[in-house]
Amino acid sequence: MKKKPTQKVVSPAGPLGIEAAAPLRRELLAAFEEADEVLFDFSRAEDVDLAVLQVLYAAKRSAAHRGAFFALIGSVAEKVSRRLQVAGFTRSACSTGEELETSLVDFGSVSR
Amino acid sequence: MARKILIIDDSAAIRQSITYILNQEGYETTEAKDGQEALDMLPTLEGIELIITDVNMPNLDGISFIRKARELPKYRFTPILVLTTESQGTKMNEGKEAGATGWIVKPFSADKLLGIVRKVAE
Amino acid sequence: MIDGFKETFREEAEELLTGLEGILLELETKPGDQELLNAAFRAVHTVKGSAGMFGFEAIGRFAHDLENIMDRIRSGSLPMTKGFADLALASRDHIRTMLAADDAPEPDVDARTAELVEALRAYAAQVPAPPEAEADPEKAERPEGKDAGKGSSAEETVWRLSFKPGEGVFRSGTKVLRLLEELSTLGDCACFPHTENIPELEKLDPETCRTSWDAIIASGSGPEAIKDVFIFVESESELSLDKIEEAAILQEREEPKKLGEILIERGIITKAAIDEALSSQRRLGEVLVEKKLVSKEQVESALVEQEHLKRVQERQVDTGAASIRVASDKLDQLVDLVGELVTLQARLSQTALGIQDSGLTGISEMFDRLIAQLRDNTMSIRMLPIGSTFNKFRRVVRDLSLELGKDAELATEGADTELDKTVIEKLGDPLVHIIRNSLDHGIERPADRISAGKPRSGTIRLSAMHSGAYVLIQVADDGGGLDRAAIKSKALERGIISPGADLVDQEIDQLIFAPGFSTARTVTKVSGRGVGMDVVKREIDSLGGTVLLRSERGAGTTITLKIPLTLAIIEGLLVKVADEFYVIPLSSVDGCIEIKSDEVVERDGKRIITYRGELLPFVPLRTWFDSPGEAPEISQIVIVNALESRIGFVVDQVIGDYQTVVKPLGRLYRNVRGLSGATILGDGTVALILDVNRLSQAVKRDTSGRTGRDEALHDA
Repeated sequence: MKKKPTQKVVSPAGPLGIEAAAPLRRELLAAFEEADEVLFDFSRAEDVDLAVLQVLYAAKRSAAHRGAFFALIGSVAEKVSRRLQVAGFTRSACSTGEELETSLVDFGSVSR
Repeated sequence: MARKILIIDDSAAIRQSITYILNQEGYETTEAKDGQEALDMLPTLEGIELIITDVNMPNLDGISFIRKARELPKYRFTPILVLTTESQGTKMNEGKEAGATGWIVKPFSADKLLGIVRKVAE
Repeated sequence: MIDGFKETFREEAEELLTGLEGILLELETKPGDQELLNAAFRAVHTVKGSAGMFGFEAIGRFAHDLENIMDRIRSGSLPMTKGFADLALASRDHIRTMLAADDAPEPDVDARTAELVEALRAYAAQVPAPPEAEADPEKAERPEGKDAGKGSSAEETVWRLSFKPGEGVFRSGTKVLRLLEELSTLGDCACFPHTENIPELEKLDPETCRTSWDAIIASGSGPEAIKDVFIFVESESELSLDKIEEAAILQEREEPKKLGEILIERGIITKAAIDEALSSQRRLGEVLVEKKLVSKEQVESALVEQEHLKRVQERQVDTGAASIRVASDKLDQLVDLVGELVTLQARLSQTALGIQDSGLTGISEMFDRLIAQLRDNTMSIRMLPIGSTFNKFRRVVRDLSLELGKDAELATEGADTELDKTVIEKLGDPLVHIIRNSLDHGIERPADRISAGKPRSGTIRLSAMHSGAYVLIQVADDGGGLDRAAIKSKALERGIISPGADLVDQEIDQLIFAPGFSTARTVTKVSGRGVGMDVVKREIDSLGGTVLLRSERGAGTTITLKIPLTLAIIEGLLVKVADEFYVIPLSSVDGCIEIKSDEVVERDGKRIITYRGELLPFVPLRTWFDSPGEAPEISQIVIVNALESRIGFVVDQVIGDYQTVVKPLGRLYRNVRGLSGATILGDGTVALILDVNRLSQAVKRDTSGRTGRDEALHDA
């Protein structure tokens, strides 16, 4: 039986500090149970902490492991883009999740 | 965006001078005169981004305050700075173990204070 | 500022000391009471801790001794005796006295302080102190003087830093990314994160730090400042900081460190494995990854280092290279001495000409050639590649584009172009201003650029090249170009031009250099600071340079600075008034004309001459500098291009072109406006160098109010 891939978008709002990491992890895990494609939308993220970034890396790795799809979408706040660039996660400024997806150091390396 | 800082010290002079320095830089501040008073305030405070606390205080000392604050889910990850004097090197480690983020050594200049605040907040 | 809290502190201290008195008295009856001992300690501790903050340093030091003993008594390592209670009470009283004395040194108070400190130390010494109590103060705080020396002139060192935060750092409220941001403020920094330890979601404890970093930083701040960034997490993290040897960088300047070397240095792989991989003729990184000798991340991280080293090397070309370091004032002395040799040689050749001895003339000519060589050589020592300042501009562009929400890059060219050290120093501010201006007014917002069919990211091209005795420095942006309509209407608004003025494009462009001009629609934080391009122009003028501007609507603006190679030697026109010689910088001379005294026209009290169909004001230097004697029948007028207009200076005689070494003015002349320096002529007489811009301004002010001459000439 063929079924159409289902999609779920996770779009947390706010500064996404350390405290946001655990809830985000739970939400993503739940999303992977429900859908084949999980998208993380940056649009409402005002800032991002390392803990949250780690969750996104982990999600990418989980998706590869499960044979599911995980990707970043949405517009990326300048503050976020700058932080990632300064810490070396990206080499240039990224204004969209799609750009981040291809620029983040080692982001896709396990999945493909 | 409000950047609110809670200042805990039994010395009014210290509290006031820290408040003055931080207000000048656009931070909002709230004061408590000892650990117990601060602990009682914590549940009702909103948007605290940083706590600066003295160590030696009556009622509840700074180290015990940090331990108790860390038990509250709302303040699990809030940066906390300990005010110490140079003669209390051990307090820094004790503070770190209790869950403090860092320390400020007294006496300090306005620049020093702001430098450390920026290091842990924002 | 702290003063306002001094009173609060004093009241508080009084209160604490009153309380302390009661506690100490009570302790006499209950010597072992822990509560009382803690309370006593706390009182002294609070006074001590605050005293230094509010200017009572002496109290802080004194209370420190008392506090130490109390701390030891309460922890049981010293006994509480009647004798100590007396001493403590006496100390308490003394702190009150010191408070009243407002920490001012008073012999009586100081003597008493010394006496009590001695007694306290004697008491403490009866039982040796535990080691940490005394040893800690030094360790506790790092020397503050070394605090993040941003933009310090200290020499840059390249560091390799490896930072693995402890797994629990999140739980102490540490924001790890902030630390890397702080690190990046210390210098040119490239970070490379390692994420390979981040597991899958299912296995991830989201409150555990699983990321670590390698970083390369070129910084003038010392290792302490770099380590200080991590001071709060040092105890729980793995941190290593290694200096990358300057020698290693310099020696291999032609070819930056190879990837393999970096990997070996980091202990990731052995030399043999590298050699083997190299033999396969493919890209080393690929081969090593394929053979699973190193991870892809390790290679990438090493590549980041390699690239960064390359950049640093490029920059260090100016500071290093098989060179020795010489204090710059020694160089200045050398230049002075050479200058004197040059002038002495001029006298020698004049004398030789007069004597007409073929032997002497031959020697003089040879001497002439040698000295010319010596002069050129000496001047070249003062030359530095302009590239040393380029990095600062890169930073300006980066920070500013973030601030303005624009996307722009700085491309540089000709970093090895050499210029006199002093000129380079003086160019810094004007260039920063021009670049700021380009970013603020030139480069469009990313959205506007895209709709204009341009790349999202703007480019500001900073280039330098030699052109004869000048260096051309260009700042070119690919932004929107000058909005001439806006400039014109603004100039009208500001009263810089009159309503009917018919201006060609170039003339309109020049308006942005007019004093008080600013096209920013709103006063932005960046360029709207009240200093405009007029200041830039003035600074470049003061360097003897000129500013050229070319702009095309929609395509960008190019500003070119033409700067003389050195400030120490000036090409001038030597003129004479009465018995005095003056040098007018040749770069500002437009032409010379002769006038007879009856050709002068008076208009509105100003003296005017006609020069190339233009009416120009002029000033006789004779009256201006109060030179004695009468003007000759026929005078010469030297027409110069001053800042805003042309003006003529009347002199007795124009002697001719003259290349000369500039000397600073002595105290006598320093305050005379209109002179910029002095020089010594071949026969040993002194000639004064005119500061054309300031002189013309002074003249302008003077002619509008005739009495103010001395005021205008002398700085108040």
